[in-house]
Amino acid sequence: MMREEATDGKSGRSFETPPRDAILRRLLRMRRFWRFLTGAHILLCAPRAASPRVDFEGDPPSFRAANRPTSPNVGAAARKVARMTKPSPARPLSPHLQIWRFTVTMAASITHRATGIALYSGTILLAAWAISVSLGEAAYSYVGPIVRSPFGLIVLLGYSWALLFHFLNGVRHLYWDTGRGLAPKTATATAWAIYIASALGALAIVAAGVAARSA
Amino acid sequence: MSAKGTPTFIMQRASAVILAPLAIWFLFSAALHLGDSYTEVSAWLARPVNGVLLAALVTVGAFHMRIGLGEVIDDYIHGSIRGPLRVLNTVVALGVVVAVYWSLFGPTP
Repeated sequence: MMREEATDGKSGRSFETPPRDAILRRLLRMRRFWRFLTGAHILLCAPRAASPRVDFEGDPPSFRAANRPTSPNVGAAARKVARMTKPSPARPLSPHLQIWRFTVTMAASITHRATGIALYSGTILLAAWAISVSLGEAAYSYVGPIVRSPFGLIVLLGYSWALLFHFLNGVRHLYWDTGRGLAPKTATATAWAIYIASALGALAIVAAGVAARSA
Repeated sequence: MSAKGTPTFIMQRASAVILAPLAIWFLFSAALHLGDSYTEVSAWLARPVNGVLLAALVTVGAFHMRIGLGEVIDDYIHGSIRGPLRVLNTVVALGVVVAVYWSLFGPTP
């Protein structure tokens, strides 16, 4: 390895130039860092990495065999994502709702989103109700009878059920976030329990409210 | 919403934790009081406990529902109306808060 003595023009101190392989290593590091920055390494390399560990706790052997992970082709995945950003109508869609076997957990997930959207519109109704109260008795005289009518009662029942379902399933989600309750049996049982509890609870609460109001 | 996934995720869970007790309070209050007569309703709203809890529910609720519907918009709406819908989503959430604040703390008729 050749080592040269050179002199810094300003201070006159001498320093050693690093050996050639050190320079090459530094260049390689810089290229790696640059690729990391630009993300080109995701698009260009298809790493032959070890297959990821997947926890098949509680799943039958046939499911394990069918879903055993193969070594990931990150390059292909990244190119697929890049293609997905500009969709073309000719490309087939991924398997959609009607492909999958219907399960309660899936229904609960869909219902969670649906009740969320329902609560969004229900909150707009609540704001309208609050405005009518603040506008005075004349404005409220239009709103009060609607709330007390059978139609208003159905809306109130629907809103209560949506709120109770979204609340209970939200608690389920928060429990999931701690990493517990995710086994298929537990998730199925809690989904059923939430459907039953929310329906019964909403009925009971609205019935109690109506009884208290008419008493 | 899509550019800051982790803060959005955390804020959605945090607002859910705050909303949980408020939702239960509101569930019973709505069943008991939403259809009352004008004098009963305004007396109920005039009580500080109810006003503060309703204001808290609507504030945190609007925050939570804006993130939630933003997620729905990002999932299902593609093309040029996504941007305007996101803006509309924010406007509606803010509008709900302003409406309820105005009716709670605004001028009384």
